[in-house]
Amino acid sequence: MYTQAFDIVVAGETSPVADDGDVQTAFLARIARDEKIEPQDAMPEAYRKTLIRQISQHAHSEVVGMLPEGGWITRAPSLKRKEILLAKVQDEGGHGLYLYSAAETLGVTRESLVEALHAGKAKYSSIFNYPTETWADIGTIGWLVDGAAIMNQVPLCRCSYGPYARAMIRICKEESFHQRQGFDIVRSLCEGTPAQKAMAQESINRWWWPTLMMFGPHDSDSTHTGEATDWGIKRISNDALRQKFVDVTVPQAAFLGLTLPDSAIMWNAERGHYDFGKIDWDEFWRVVKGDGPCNAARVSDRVAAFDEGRWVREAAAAHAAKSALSKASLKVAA
Amino acid sequence: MAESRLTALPESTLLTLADTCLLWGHRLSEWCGHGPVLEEDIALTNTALDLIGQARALLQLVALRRGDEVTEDALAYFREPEAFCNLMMVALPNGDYALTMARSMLLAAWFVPVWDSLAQGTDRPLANIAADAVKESRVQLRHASDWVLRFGDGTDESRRRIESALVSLWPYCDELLATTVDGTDQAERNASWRASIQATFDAATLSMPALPDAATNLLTATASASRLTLLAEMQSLARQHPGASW
Repeated sequence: MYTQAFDIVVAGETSPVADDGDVQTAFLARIARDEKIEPQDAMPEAYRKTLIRQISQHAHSEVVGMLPEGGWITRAPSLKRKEILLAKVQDEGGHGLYLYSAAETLGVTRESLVEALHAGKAKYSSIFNYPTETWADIGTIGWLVDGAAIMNQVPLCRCSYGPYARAMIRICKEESFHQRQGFDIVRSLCEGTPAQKAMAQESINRWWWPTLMMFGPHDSDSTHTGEATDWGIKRISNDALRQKFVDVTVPQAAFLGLTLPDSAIMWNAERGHYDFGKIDWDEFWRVVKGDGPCNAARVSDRVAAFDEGRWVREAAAAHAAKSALSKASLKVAA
Repeated sequence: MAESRLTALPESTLLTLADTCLLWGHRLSEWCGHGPVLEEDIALTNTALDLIGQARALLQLVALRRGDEVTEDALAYFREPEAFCNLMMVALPNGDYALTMARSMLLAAWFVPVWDSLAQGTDRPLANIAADAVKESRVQLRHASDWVLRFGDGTDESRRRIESALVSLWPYCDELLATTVDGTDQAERNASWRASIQATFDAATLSMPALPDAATNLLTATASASRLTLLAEMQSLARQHPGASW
């Protein structure tokens, strides 16, 4: 699952500064030739820092994203749905692992990244700060949230940084399954009883706008789009991706017999796109800055799992050290 | 058809296995997103998926043999708690990771010989399920035994926790060993269980607690209360919408 406008930087927080010199010139020439940058290659410090921030935000989003859906595994209304949801949430954990590994190729440790998340210094997709109130939310998250994530992520398969691009190829394949299973849940609700269909509609009403916010601020307000584009990290702008998502989703909602909660949605023949209403950016920034419905609960759940698991990790490390010592002694004796 | 009816094992055996897998899978699924390290989160989810998959296959077989439009979901979501035939141990709350891994080891060590025997049995549909399940239970046994070893040999705290977990689970092993599974040799199964557990205990330098004579009423009441809570959660949404398709 995930991601929102990659590389969200809150006003007042530091941003990497591009460095000059030969490295920069040679690097930009490679980007222009559409070459992949690999971990051992020279790269500007600003590029490295931007990637660490973006990939770790993405990894955190996958891991925090396990929580809102994970809460419904034990209540899934059929065994088939339970299996699918378990597999989906497991995939998200796997995505987190790929991405932490990709970030580690840039010279940071997973521990330091996780520490930043727990300390509230690192961001993750703000969509996961909304609650999953009903089973229909599991379908909506798959259909809309994962659908929006795919729009964001497919261009990243061509990202200039090799390990990130390769991780994204695998992630996108799995996200595609997630999106289809979400749509299938919503479809089954819409074809079900009146109560099931009402559950689906109520869920869409709550998730539509936060989903549109996932693409991030308007291009005119997105301070890092230029750099990220120059460096071959970002291929398509926030607004272009958001428009593409709306254009794809409006007919899907009509097919399902659901209404999107925006009276301004209308086909614009001149533009060849759907027009849609204004996004509440105050809400977006409120949630990004930590004041969403579930920010505190999400981080607190992650911190609790980490703290309660400390003795487990310590035991594994102690056993590994003893085993290594014992093997070394045997070698010496031999 | 006549032959398969003759060789089909009793439904109670299938339900004992199915319900044990289902409830244990449910408990492991509660760890999803809350594991001590991401790799373990993924591993436990895998085991939960295996167990729920085994439960589904068995419940589908029961439903097929009952006929009358019975489904796997009707059996999982609309049976009353007292109709469930699970081993008591699986209904208990997860507790810490030592309790989860100890329980995982004790159960997998029981399931491996059970599936092994059933895979060679004459109830062919069940044998096919067992042939797949035994591979999964072996993985589960190796994973859990590795952790019991780490805890026994790790730190003072991990050793204290694994010892405490084993003491609290041990009384439930009596039922594990006394449960009859048609189509399997109980003595052989129990010998295999003991040998498997003993090997891990030796490696971890842990002592095997003595088995009590019989499970007490208190143990049964605790496990029944836990099952009631577990099923109330698992069945809640399905029961709010009887007759709905999902």
